[in-house]
Amino acid sequence: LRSDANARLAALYDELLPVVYGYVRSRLAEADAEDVTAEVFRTAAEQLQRDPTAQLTRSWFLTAARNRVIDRWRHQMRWEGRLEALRRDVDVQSVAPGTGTGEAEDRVLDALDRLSPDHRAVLILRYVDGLRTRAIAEALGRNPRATDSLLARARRELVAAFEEVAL
Amino acid sequence: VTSRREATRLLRKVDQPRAPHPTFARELRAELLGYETEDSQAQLQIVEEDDDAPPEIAVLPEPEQKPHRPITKRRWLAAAAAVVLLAGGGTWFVAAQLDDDEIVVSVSPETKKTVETACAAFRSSAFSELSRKDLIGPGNNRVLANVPSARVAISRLEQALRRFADDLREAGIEDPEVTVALDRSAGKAGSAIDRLDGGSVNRGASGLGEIDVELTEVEQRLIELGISESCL
Repeated sequence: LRSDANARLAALYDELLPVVYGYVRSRLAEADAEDVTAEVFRTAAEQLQRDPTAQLTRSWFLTAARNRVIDRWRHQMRWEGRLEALRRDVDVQSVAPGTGTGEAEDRVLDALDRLSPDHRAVLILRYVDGLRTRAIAEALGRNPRATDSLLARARRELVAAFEEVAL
Repeated sequence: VTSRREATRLLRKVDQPRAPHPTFARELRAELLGYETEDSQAQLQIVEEDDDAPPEIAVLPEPEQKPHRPITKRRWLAAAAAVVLLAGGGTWFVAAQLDDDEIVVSVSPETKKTVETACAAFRSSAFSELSRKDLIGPGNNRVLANVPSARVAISRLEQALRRFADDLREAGIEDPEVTVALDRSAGKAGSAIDRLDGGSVNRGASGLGEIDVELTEVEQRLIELGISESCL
């Protein structure tokens, strides 16, 4: 049974490590992204040790990753008690399978790494996750106008960061 | 120079599978599985020789890569349609940039109609019997005859701006460039009223030209997004 669990975990690891890490890395800095990725795979390993037939799908991994990203955001930005509404299943298409990264995506990541955590988070929620401003506002406990202002500032910061990484 | 639109377009592509640093991948695999596969051992040897290799070099076999496909108009349209569907409602809009000049937009007829109604309501309530040029264009100090009448006109404009921003949000227009410009305009109208309280029509009227600039930008943005051709 143990060897079955290990074989399944190895296959899942090989297939999904870049997917999970890619999803988390766009939302968090490198060290945090590694921590969260490791936590997700450790949880998967525990589940498979308990039940080698457990159905751990791509969606399961991404949802587990998302919940941990939210925990990090709440801690980093003192958003305790907020963001609960964002805990939801992740669309399995959200990280395109096998498309890989290029120079443009690396540049985006470099620019995101230069932003404050809250600016990075709202940009990801709006433009990557596709949440509407009202949904973000409700999750953050802000009004839509304040959220729009936060988004506008974050976009300006992102443009400035792009210029910096281009130099 | 990166435009805001270009930055947003690139941002939408950030969710990609990404190989972590080889050392991290190797250590996590060892922690979880306690052994290495033949493939990973072979690749580990390569990594050991150059442990400072950039993160792009993965310890693990790369997932099967699809061949690179150039960005085509068809692909952008498909992506735009997908985002509209994901938005889950008929009132949202999406813009996709093909290149620096061309923008493809999908806006539902209901959204356009709602926005047109909001635009008409704004024009009617903001300027009343005056024109936009009369109230916020150059030489408006000649139209705004005295402090009480100027206060009435600018207060009306401020309320209309706030209501217009709310109406657009209700219509699902969530573009920060539009809503922030309108909120900023309302704030400038409020400041103009404060200046009127100092007793000078000229001082109150002088800042209204900035609102004219903001509204021009809003109008341009609505055209750019394919939402309205002649809103303001």
